[in-house]
Amino acid sequence: MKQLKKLIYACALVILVQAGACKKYLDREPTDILLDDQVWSDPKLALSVLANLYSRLQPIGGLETGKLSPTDLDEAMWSGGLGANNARNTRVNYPYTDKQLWSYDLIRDVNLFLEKLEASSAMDAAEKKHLLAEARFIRAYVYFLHVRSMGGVPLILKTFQYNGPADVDAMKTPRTTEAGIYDFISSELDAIKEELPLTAGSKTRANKWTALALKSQAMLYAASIAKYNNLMADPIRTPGGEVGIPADRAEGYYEQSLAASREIIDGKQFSLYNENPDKVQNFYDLFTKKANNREVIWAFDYTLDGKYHDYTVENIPRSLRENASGAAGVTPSLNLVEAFDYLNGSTGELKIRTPNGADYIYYDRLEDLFAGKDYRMSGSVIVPGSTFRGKRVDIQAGVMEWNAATGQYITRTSADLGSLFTDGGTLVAADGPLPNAANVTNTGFYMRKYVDSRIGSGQSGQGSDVWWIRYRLGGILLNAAEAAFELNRPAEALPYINLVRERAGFGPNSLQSLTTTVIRKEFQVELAFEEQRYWDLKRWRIAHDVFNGNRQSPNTMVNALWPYRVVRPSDPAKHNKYVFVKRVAPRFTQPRLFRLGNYYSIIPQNALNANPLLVKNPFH
Amino acid sequence: MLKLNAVFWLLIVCCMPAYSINSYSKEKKFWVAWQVSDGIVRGVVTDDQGGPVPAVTITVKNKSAKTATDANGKYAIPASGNDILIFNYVGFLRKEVSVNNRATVNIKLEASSESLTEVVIVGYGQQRRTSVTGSIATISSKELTESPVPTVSQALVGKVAGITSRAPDGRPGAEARLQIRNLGDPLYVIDGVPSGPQQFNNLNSEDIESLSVLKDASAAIYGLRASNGVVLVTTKKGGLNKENRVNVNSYYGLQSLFRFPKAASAADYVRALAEADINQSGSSVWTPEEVGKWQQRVPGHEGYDWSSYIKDNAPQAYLNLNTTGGSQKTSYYLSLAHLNQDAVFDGYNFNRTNLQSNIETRIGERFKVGVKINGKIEIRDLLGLPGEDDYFQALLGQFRNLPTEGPYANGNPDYPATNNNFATNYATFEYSGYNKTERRTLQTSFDLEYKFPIKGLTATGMYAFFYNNLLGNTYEKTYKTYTYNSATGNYDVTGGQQNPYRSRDNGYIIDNVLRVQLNYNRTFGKHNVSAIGAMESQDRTDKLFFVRSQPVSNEIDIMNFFNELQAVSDRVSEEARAGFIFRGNYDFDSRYLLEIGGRYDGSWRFPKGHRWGLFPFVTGGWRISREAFLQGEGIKKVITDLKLRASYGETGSEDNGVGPFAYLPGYNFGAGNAYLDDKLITGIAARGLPVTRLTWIKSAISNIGLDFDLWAGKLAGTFEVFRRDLTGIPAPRYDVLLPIEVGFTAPSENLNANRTLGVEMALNHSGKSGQVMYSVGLNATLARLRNISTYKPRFGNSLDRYRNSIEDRWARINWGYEFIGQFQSEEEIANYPVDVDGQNNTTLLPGDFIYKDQNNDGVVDGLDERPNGYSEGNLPYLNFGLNSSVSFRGFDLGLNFSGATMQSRGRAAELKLPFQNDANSPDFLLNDRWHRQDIFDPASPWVPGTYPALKKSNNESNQRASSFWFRNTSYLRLRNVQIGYNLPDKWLKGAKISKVRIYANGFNLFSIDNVKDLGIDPETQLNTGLEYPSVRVYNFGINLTF
Repeated sequence: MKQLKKLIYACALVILVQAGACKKYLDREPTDILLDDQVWSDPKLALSVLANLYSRLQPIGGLETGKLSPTDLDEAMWSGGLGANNARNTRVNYPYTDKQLWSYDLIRDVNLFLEKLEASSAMDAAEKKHLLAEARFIRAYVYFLHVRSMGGVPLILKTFQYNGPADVDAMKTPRTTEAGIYDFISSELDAIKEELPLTAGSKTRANKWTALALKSQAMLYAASIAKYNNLMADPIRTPGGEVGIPADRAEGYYEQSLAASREIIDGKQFSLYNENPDKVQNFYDLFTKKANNREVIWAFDYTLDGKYHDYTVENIPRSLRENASGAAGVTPSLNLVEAFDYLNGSTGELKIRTPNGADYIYYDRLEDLFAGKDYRMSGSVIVPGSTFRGKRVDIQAGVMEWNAATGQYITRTSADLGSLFTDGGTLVAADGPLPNAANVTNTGFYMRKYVDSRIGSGQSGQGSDVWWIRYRLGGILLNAAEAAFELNRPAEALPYINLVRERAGFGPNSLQSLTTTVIRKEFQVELAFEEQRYWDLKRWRIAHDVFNGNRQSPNTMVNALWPYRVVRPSDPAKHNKYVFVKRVAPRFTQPRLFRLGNYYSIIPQNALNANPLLVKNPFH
Repeated sequence: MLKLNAVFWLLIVCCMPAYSINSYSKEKKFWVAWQVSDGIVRGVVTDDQGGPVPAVTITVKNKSAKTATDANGKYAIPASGNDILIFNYVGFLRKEVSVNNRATVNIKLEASSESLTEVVIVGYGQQRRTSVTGSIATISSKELTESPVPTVSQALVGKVAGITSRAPDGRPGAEARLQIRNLGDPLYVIDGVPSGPQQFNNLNSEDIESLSVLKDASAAIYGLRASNGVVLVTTKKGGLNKENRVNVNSYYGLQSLFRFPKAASAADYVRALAEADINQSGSSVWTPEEVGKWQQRVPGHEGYDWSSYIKDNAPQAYLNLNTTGGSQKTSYYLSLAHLNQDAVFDGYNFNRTNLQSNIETRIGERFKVGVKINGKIEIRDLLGLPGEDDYFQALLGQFRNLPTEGPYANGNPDYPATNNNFATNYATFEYSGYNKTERRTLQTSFDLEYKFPIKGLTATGMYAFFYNNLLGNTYEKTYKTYTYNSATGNYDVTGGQQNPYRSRDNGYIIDNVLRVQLNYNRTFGKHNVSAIGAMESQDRTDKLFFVRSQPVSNEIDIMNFFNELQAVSDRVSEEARAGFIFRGNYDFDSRYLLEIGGRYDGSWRFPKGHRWGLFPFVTGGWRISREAFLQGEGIKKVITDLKLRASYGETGSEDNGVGPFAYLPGYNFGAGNAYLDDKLITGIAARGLPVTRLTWIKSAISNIGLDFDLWAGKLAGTFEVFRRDLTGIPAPRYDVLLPIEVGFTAPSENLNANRTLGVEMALNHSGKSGQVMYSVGLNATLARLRNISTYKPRFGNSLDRYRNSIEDRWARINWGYEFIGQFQSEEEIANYPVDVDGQNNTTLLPGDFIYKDQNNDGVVDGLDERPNGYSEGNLPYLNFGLNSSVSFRGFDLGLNFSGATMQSRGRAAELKLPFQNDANSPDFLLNDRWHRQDIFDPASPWVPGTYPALKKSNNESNQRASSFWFRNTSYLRLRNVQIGYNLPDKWLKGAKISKVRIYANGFNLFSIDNVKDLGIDPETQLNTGLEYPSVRVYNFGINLTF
């Protein structure tokens, strides 16, 4: 009985202890949450916050997400799966939400970084100065991305606290003018440029030279808008200047851009990539080789140890794919291929018919058609008969069989890649093209720029570590050329553009005079697929002319080049030769239509709802 | 398959001698007892109509003698003097009769209504069925073990009123989706330990003694986790002074897919390709000659039927050995079970071993201690195919592999072919590697009971420890695929898997439950009083470590060297809960019943100061049948029992849409990373505003029920109506519109409300006619969710309100266009006044869909969408079940039907789009379609079909969400039919076996439903149809008792 009593007491004790412990019992510590004072006393953790911010600066047309942006215009089209992305080939117009950006969560996190770091006393002063300047650079870059898409946006430079509904009115901020945002970017960059590291050692983090490159680009955009918007019959602007920059500011912006570009060029920290005497390979290496690459100013970098992308998986030629699915996603257009001039200076139209148009021109080999073209074409695009990863990429749509009775060719095709014709020769090549199939080119070309030649990079489990170049000296030289030309100093502009062309293989001083057309074409071919053309056409205010929705206009449809093998044993001069047909890519159905309302994306409805001070963009 | 079978029978045979020796020695003791007794009592047992009752168990109180009546109801048992005989048989009231020195004792048994005597397990205790006032359904172990299914949830389907269910998946080891009254995922409590569905489903159903479903306020005693109801499971235990019994149950069965869409043949596929080209552009790369070759199956054009890779006789086998009994102080139940289930595709298997050991012993007069051990090993062996779900490629392969290609290059089985998509080529599967998931679980509990010297007062305590280890290994290997080169006679390597993958998940969960409880139970005259008070705490640690590598070879099965490693991740989470529980019951004369209780419950999820809540409940009942005015003889014959009851309870739901530490500010670790200056730096990101105003969702559940039992069990049943109101569902305040530019969103607060409404009923009839005994049970549950209010809703205009408001509307509405027909001719399209496709009908062909222009604006666009059907992907609103059984002499037959309606199903991908993924489609899509009489002649007349004319793309108009693609799915399926035979006793006497039952099952034999034309199982859920459907099983089994 005594023992029982003891047990009862023990039980009672257990109950009491349990009850007493309950308060603490529910206190549990999370394992993956860091508190403010932990973060802002450790430079390593501060860098981790910065890493998060850098990771959120995803380029729209980059390698990881959205890699489709070349298919927005006339550079390329979608030849991948027939699912949702196929709508890119059939869309009637661009929605006003296209390129919409309203990333104020990111802006808040940058502002928070600045405020917290500023307040922190546990950090070394020199370290703090660098980090603060770096975050301000990121903020300026983010505002540039916004102004490019949206026009002037609310300029928020501090974080808000929420303590209940009463605070809300004070948080409403109107849009700053478009010029105001560009001016903010300009003054920020001026202020931090000397606080950032002065050497060009890092290609991935901000330094003085990245700040200058951003300035060169941003000021050129501002200048073009100030000039060309006001040359439109009906300039796009709002009364408050949220959209539209006064014409008289153009010259100042051009000067600022040129000054920034010149500082980079004259600083001699960078040089055009010229490591490989094979000009085609050299231009390709520029994008895929990281070692000794002195042309790159700022890149979004990847590593096989934990951060890689599947750009190669998605875009590799069909016959070279390493995955069970994917391949041939973004395929270059004939429009782009013909934009590359011949090295002798003549325009780039491919010669497929005899001068009088009566007959095809018969080529011995597929690749002969492209002889003499700007080397950058083959450096950027895989054309029929070229090699990639040491293998030939054969592109042949079928066979033209001569019918002596009618005196005409009969086109023979098949649905099977790599099929053979009755004569034992190729009918449809292993790499297509096919008219209505997925994951094989529809245009007759494949992507080369940024596609990795390393075996294994086409497997989704590994992927590619090729980096995405944001700024490189080639682009800065073109910026300088355009700014100088617009400032009416062609003599200053010419050497810049000729330097770029010389690296491409044109020889020294290939241009003797400049026009806007020449400069713009140089932008198109040098910077193809680098997420430039959309914004360039926009700032020059010609997007609505180029993509006018008229099927007959030269660039509204994505054109294809389909090679055929000739079967005509009776005529040995033609038999087993190759002929080419230019056509609209079969999967591409609707002419491009860029509306005036597309010059500025629509402001999200929820932003308008929540902040009545926001002015809508024109046409929305 | 043969091997599997043999092993099981071998096991049985091995066990038999051991137990026959055992029972032989018992027999000896029995004879000793016989000899010293004074005599033998004989007699006949009859029912109330005078018919003999066979198989009645007769025991002598406090003695070991035992017998049973024969087919004529006769018995003989050694007994004498003042011995008391106990007569026991299912369906009759237990009867105790004193021998009183008689030699003949004839007995008339009264049919029992089981419900009158049954004890029901409730939260933290048990109650007699008659005094239960909450809505509690129970299911017995017999009903649970009828169907040969791998998981407990599947066994519950259609059996209980109030359970809504759907079995979307039939792969080995699959679970059914189960909810109580469509409230959401319930809490499972197994032997007093709050657990999850994983533990519940993988119990060995033979080990379950009873299962209670708490559907209303009776669940509220589980507080913060009880808003969706609670399922209580009690495992078997032995009894004191019970003879040792050994049971063996084993079955072996063959499974096939209940239904799966059939892919089109090569001839149809090729014809459809040509047809699609011509429909789309007027010409095709396919020539009539080429298509003709496939139609005529000329050599080289026979095509391949990939469905030959689906087996229709995949084996499954089950063996359970258990033993139960008890001495004067100690009782035990020990059980060992093994289940082995193959899939219809080679290379997939599920097997599970369960061990249950429940031992209880008395120490002295006042103490009772017990230990329960439940051990489980679950192993899922799959192929290592690319993708998350290793069944997907096998299912996808039915369509993704083209019927024009075969699995092997040149038909040579040494060389898997490089076909359209080699990852789905079944010939490559044997080279693909493996994915093996092993879960090992140990749940132990230590129970203590102390009887106070005060009458009716006891204390119980429990400590339960749970350990679960997860070990997942995946190894996707590399292999080559080939193309035959007829010119050289070589097999050229043209493709294959070059992307090896190796990963391991290793995790464990540790869970501790501690409980102390006081119970008081006493009767004072007509006043019955009982009360409990308890305290319970539970904490859980969950850790998971994951590592992934890219192996250099197919041969080395361990991960090594960091140059192979690709990813490592580590996750730790902790939970803690505590609660104080009390309940009091009072009843007067078993006539007026009242129960009041509550739980003061706390959870670690919420910020300090907001962690604890009180959740009260009250239930009451009135047993009308006990009233004086119903005591007349005539009335009593009709109304055996009648009870009206009502309940109201408040509970909470922890699951309020934000994570456990949402109240903390700071930074999240592991948010993005950047490769900066050749170093990969893990990112950390600001967490946004801390959520400090959000607490649990409040749930209030009300229930009114009527239980009746007429003509002594001939007709019994329950009707119930119920309502659950959820308030405080998280939502942001609409009238506080934070500018987006501030960069954060206002934290959610407890603002919105919804309500689940429903009715349910259960009816049972059982009876006996001559030697035929039968029973029929019917149950149905209708439960539907309605959104009640949102916080100050704002709408821009009436259309916005019409389309987007959820105020006081049924929840989960689908929207789509109203399909009103198909265009019959090109003229009709040309002259049609409404722009159907948004492109002035320029993309349309005859057979394409016409949608109703609801607002008559001449164009079909988003404004013309209307509500369409019920929810998609949830459980059906109306579930019903019909269960019946008949027995005659040794034979028994059981039938279980289950059905459901009020659920919608949309269609996508393979079930909707021809040539999905540039591959084959179900045959109905390619054949039952609008087409031209001569597909190669664009001028030939159109022939109608169900589906639109084939195109490869530019079909957007037909593919829009519309009532054509939505279907309200209804079904009634024969879930299980079982026929058994008990071998007559006289055959068994020599073998010393007390019972032998052989039986056969048919599971999922047929279904009456409206999705047969799509070739899909009505319960599957994916709108693509690419799901492993329920299986049809034929089983044969044996049940032995020694």
